[in-house]
Amino acid sequence: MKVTIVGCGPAGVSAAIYVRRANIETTIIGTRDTALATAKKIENYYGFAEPISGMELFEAGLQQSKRLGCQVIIGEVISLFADDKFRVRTMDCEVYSDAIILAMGQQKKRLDIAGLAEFEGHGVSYCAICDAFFFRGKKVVVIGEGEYAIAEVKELAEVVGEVILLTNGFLPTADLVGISVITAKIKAIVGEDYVAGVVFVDGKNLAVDGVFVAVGVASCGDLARRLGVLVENNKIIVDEAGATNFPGVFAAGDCVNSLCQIATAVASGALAGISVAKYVRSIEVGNKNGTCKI
Amino acid sequence: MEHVKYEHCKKGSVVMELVEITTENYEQEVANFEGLVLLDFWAEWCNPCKVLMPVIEEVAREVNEIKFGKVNVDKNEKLANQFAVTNIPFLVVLKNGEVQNSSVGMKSKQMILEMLNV
Ligand SMILES: Cc1cc2nc3c(=O)[nH]c(=O)nc-3n(C[C@H](O)[C@H](O)[C@H](O)COP(=O)(O)OP(=O)(O)OC[C@H]3O[C@@H](n4cnc5c(N)ncnc54)[C@H](O)[C@@H]3O)c2cc1C
Repeated sequence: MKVTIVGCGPAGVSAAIYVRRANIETTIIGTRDTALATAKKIENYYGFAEPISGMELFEAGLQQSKRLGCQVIIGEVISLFADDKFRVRTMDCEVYSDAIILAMGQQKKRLDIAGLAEFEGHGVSYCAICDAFFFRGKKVVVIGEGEYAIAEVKELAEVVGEVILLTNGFLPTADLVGISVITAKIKAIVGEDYVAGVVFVDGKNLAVDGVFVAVGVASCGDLARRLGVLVENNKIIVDEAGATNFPGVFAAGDCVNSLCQIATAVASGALAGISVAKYVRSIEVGNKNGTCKI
Repeated sequence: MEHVKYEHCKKGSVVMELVEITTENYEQEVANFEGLVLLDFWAEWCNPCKVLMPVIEEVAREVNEIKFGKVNVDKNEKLANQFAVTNIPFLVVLKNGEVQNSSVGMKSKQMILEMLNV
């Protein structure tokens, strides 16, 4: 049995410690881009006589999880699938597991471009794999600049007629070989019932049938949406055990909590870790009894 | 035949099936229906749709005065286009054939009840 945890901040590492100590194979995937690492001086977390920097605490957490035998992969998660097993995909690898914990920190703010919210569901999408079908043979754009956006472009290229990456004034942070790119800043998404085009700040127009949003890294909401995990007001909805509405998917930390602190992230991580261990044990028993096919 | 299923659900049958709405029967089942209808646009390949469907079925079992239908977008492209659907799951509430509100993505039972205002 195996558990994958997305995010290696306080919530992810705390969860990993509990899962690993329940003697379950544990993989943590995350990047060093965390809220914790940006906190300069932490004075309100238990056990430090003198303030500690967020970066130090973050690195110590990673070392602790490694010492306990967790596998740590530093990398960006670009997609998530649930078939017989959960598959967590990065640019370089795919990790299979029986359950997952999303501990990806606060969801980034949504892009503030006129028309984006208005056309959601009518040409604006936040998930290529979910909605590419509706744009077969059509022309679409992906708004974004990093690996996540590139992955969405590649996903769409299989299905749509033409796909262009719009970096919206940002410098691309990923390899763009073979991808059409426009770097101009976007002013608005326009159309009547459906999206019909993008208007740029410089006054130029681009006629398109669809707009996919993939700015920065995939957020917990982006991954949750792929499976049908409930998200409300940018937070993943969990029960008191840290379980989402999707069996085998748990969540912890800032992506769940209303009080976003290290102490609450660690606490909810521990809770989700204990719950996920119970969950994988229960499906293991199910397998042995022959009642559950994995 | 499809209507029989709806009658079943009105009588509180536990075996609830949503009415299969197609481009062909839309006029009769939805446009000309007096009262509230909730339509769930879905597809076989859509994972969130599979998670949402049982939630809709649960609501349908509990709320008797509303008609609940599902539209397979693969088989009813014209109908999906009519509602300008480009993301699924897509839910739409109609009253006497007129669209009242709509939503995209996974929803909880509570959210669906709020959409229906019941
Ligand atoms: C400037 C600042 C100061 C703060 N000061 C304090 C303080 O003094 N005391 C206190 O208690 N709290 C403080 N906080 C809050 C605290 O840092 C957070 O509440 C805590 O870090 C949340 O932990 P987390 O594990 O939920 O999320 P995070 O620490 O944000 O970790 C999220 C993890 O998910 C990973 N991730 C996200 N998306 C992806 C993806 N697509 N692929 C792979 N990995 C991904 C990130 O790389 C990271 O590893 C501060 C926050 C900030 C921003």
